[in-house]
Amino acid sequence: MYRIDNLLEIRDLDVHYAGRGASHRILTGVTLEVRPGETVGIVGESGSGKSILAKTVMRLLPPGVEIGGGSVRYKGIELQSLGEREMRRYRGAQLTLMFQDPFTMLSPLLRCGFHITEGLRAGSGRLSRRAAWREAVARLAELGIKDPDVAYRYPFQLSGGMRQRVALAAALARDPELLIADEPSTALDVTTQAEILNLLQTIQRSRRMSVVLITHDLRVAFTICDRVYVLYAGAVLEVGSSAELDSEPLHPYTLGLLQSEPPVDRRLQVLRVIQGNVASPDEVVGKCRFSPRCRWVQPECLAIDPPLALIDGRQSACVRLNDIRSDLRRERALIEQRAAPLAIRTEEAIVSVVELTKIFPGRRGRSVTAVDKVSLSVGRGESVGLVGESGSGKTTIARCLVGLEKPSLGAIRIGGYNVFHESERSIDPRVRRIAQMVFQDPYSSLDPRQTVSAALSECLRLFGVRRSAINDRVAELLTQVGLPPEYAHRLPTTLSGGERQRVAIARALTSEPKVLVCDEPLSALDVSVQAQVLTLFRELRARLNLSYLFITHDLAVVRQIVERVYVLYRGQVVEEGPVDQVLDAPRHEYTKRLIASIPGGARGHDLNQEVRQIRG
Amino acid sequence: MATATITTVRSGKLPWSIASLARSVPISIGLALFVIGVLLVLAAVGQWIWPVSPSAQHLLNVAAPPGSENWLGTDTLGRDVTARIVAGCQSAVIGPFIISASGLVLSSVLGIGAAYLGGAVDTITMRFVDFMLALPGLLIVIVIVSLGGGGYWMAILVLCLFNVQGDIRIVRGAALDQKSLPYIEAARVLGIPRWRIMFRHILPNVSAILVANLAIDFALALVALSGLAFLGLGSQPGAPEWGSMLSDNETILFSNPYGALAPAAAIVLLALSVNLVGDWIYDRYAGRGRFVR
Repeated sequence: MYRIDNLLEIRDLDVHYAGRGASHRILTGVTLEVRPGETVGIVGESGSGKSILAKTVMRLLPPGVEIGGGSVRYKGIELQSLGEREMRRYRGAQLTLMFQDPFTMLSPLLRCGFHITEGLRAGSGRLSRRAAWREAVARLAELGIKDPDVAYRYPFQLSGGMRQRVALAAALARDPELLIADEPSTALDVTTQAEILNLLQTIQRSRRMSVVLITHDLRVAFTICDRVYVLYAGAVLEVGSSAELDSEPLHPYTLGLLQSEPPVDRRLQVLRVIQGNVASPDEVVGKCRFSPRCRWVQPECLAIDPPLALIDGRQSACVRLNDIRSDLRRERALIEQRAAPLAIRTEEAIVSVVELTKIFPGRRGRSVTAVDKVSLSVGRGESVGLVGESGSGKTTIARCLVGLEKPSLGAIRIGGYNVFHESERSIDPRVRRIAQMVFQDPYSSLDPRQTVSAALSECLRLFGVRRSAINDRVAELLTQVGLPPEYAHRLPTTLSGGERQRVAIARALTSEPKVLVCDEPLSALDVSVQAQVLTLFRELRARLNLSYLFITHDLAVVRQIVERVYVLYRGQVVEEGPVDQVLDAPRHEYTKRLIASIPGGARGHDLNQEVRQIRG
Repeated sequence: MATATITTVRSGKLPWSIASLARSVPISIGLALFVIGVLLVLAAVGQWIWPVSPSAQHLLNVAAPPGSENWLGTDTLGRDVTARIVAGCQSAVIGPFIISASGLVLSSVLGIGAAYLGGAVDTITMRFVDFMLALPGLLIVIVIVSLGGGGYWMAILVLCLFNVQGDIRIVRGAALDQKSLPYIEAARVLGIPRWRIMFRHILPNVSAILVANLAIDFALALVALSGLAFLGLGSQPGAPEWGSMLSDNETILFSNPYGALAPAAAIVLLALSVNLVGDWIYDRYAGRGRFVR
């Protein structure tokens, strides 16, 4: 059973939460192996248990979460049987964990160098303080930070990408053989994300370490991992090499994930989506975990919880694989389709922004120019994208459009009205009926104490809907966004992320607006749910003749939904034009960089091929 | 998106039924609720439950130890201690309730108003709070009450004034937290009026803190009122009041210790129970509406 050449081997791992009175499954029967020098990806949506899996290996489980059974062996040693003191000798020195958020991972009170020397000096070498500091500077240089001064700076003085490098240097201080990276690139901008992934790959090769990369993004995993485990609701559904999984997924869920991630190099006529919400392990006991959402579900799927089975040297947990394999292949081929780009319409502008400038006053006269003379327009019924990284000013523009910020200079006209009148503090109320906003985070953009119907009817009353008509209108709005009308009596806390975003969209539609300003409306959602909401945006547009100003950092999303795009960089529009033209033949240096850094996509696959060739 | 979750109950309804509530209440809270309940009943209908006059004097039976007639003995004037404890319930409940309720109303209006409106409203309110906090509270209360001639209602009025400042600051902080959340911005984009945002959106979301404040204020007010009564300021002479019973019966501590110990125990028991319940409600409902992610 046990293979000596595995660095890490997890067998039949069960992890559950046993809190007050309640018990929840988190992981069931997870088996996973990592060979020396290998990069393994664990891909799963929220609730799949991927972070808990990492913490189980490190034995850093939160209170109440317990291991029910199974084994976790590192170099053949059962980690669970070690005492806490012995385990501490392994952590950092042998295996190490790097967390997602570069903003909270480092202590803001300690200099960056200290985070690294702390680990260096904890090792057996007994380095002197000065030698350790020199070593820390060298380690930072290895990760691309050539400036020795960085070691003296505090984490909050660095950018997210720099922090992530410092955190990586700290994690690697004691030269571990296994690095577990939990979403190391998720909180970063696209360009930085690519840098960090490249860095991980370089380090892995030069040090001959093993890396376990945990991510929700299949394409990120494909770019740097040799093998990928697809995790869903606490169990592994499919295992295979990156290339195999990408070219021929052997589980409907893997296929669904691939389909849910829109391609960046072309527009799809129809986005295939996985229906429903991500299940929790407790909801799918004794049957195929994916069965409630699977298109090919049959009674045999509900009879047992299918284990992983070997097929052509790969593993899949689909019992109907032999019947549906050709279907899966056909569906996979659909992703390669290419739809004609959306026609550019030339209609009168419903939103027009002329030389908008927003300057935020800072302390001691140091002000920040967030938006610098930006001009843009959105035609009636047109959908326009605004792409850029964090700090590019795209959110500030959105906030000015709906009146949450007052511009310092420039004019905004929506539907023929000036949004701001010179002397007034708040916006022209007529504009509210024309332009509404959908926020990024559906978890906090709904009042947690208000039921869905209370939230909607509050707005409807405001926009002058008669009391007697309100209930009907609430039901109508919910149906429009794809929710059953019974959801009216629910509180937001009982809804999933995607359902909440649908409610938020319904709320924005209460004024029957002509324009929706959407500020990253998908980025807080699970991959499979993103595709659902994206499809909803497309449907609503067709049905209500809405205009969108779609603000996002995700070029693949922008390709699917807009006709024209503006690229924003440091508060200025650096490029604009039809979306295909801008994304396929970028002219500005920044746009080129942005496109080159997308994991997966056409270019990503090439990179992947290259990597594999280099490795031989 | 990254962290694994322990999903909460996904039913659409609030888990609110007597049975489920009873099951989830810990024993200490059950006892505290029982104590509060008994004292409330005594405050309402105590004179029928223990139909002995609290003011009838028996000068031949002074400072008697507990017996079959007088369960807790008698005091310096031969009055039944049990009857006085029971009669004292009313003032022990009403006064602190008025003080803490006024604190609740004032602190939610001023605290949320200062936080949401900001600017001059915030500055004026908070400088007033700073000023009040800089004053040596209880000392000033003693001076004002004694200058004003004392009395139960006078004490309540002054304590109402000197109770709110801390609450305003706490509520303002909590409201500021809420103000920065996107759901408030969403409400602004939709053009929901300011008063509605403050009292229909922010207020329910800080209600757990308000309840906790209410409980703490109640306990503090009870102790403060009893303290004033102990000093002879917060009550009419002769009125059955737990604080004044303490000082009156100090002299007979060795002949009938229950004359002083019983009101002391009553004060501690009520203050403790209210505090426990307030804490429990806060812990239980503060997370409500927030999301397990």
